[in-house]
Amino acid sequence: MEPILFAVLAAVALVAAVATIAWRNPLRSAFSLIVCLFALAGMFVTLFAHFLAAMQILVYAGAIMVLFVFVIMLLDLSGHGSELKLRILPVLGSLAVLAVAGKFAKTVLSTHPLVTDVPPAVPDSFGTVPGVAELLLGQFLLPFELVSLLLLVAVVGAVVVARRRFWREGK
Amino acid sequence: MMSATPLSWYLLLSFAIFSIGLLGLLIRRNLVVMLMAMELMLNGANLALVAYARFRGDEAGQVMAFFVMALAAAEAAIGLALVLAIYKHFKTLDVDRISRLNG
Repeated sequence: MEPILFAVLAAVALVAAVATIAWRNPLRSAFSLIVCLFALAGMFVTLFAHFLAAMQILVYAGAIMVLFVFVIMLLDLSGHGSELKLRILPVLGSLAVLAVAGKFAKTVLSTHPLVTDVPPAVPDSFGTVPGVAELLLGQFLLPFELVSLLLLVAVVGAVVVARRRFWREGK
Repeated sequence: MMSATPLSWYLLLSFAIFSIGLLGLLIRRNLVVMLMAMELMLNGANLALVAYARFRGDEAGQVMAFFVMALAAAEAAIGLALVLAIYKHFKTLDVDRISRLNG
């Protein structure tokens, strides 16, 4: 049952990922990426990462992708069709990526994994809010607080960067 | 047994998604699509973290993936703000035409 679920989710994720970079229309790319994120959220559930699956849908497929779609709608990119003008570029890019991917695959398939292929039995709280929160607010408290600071800085920075040209043109 | 899929399958899928994202980053010329390809790469890495967390029985990997999501949110906010600023200035998002620093 579970390998079938993995195969289905993996196929959806891969097709959606390829579609993301293949569509000429950025809006279609964004929606393909949302499909890919949902498939990965399903995969997180099979890996007992329930909290993370919920976050994937809420934060990623929700907040971040809404931001992307919003910007794409705002900019109206339909008239900019000079994609892949240089024919040499896709070829070189594909070769470079194939080299990297081959190296990855060789490493994954040839090394003995750090862990067994039989996943250990885990407590019921594994990956749920109480289980993750205990680590997040205990051992990883300092990084957690730093991340909140980073998000604040990023939001303020985004407002400044996006508004500055408004000011200059408004004068 | 709930998780009968071997770890290597998850890792292979993870690097496949990462590679697709890398390919998109290399061959696409549209800034917004390049940012989305970067999101794909981050998600590929996230899947490896979560898979290792499951197969080691250690939730620390999930916490790391959570931090990656937060960083991705920050990156998207800054990146898209820059995209807006660049579009206002250059009236295009084609990275081949945004080449003022090219000399």
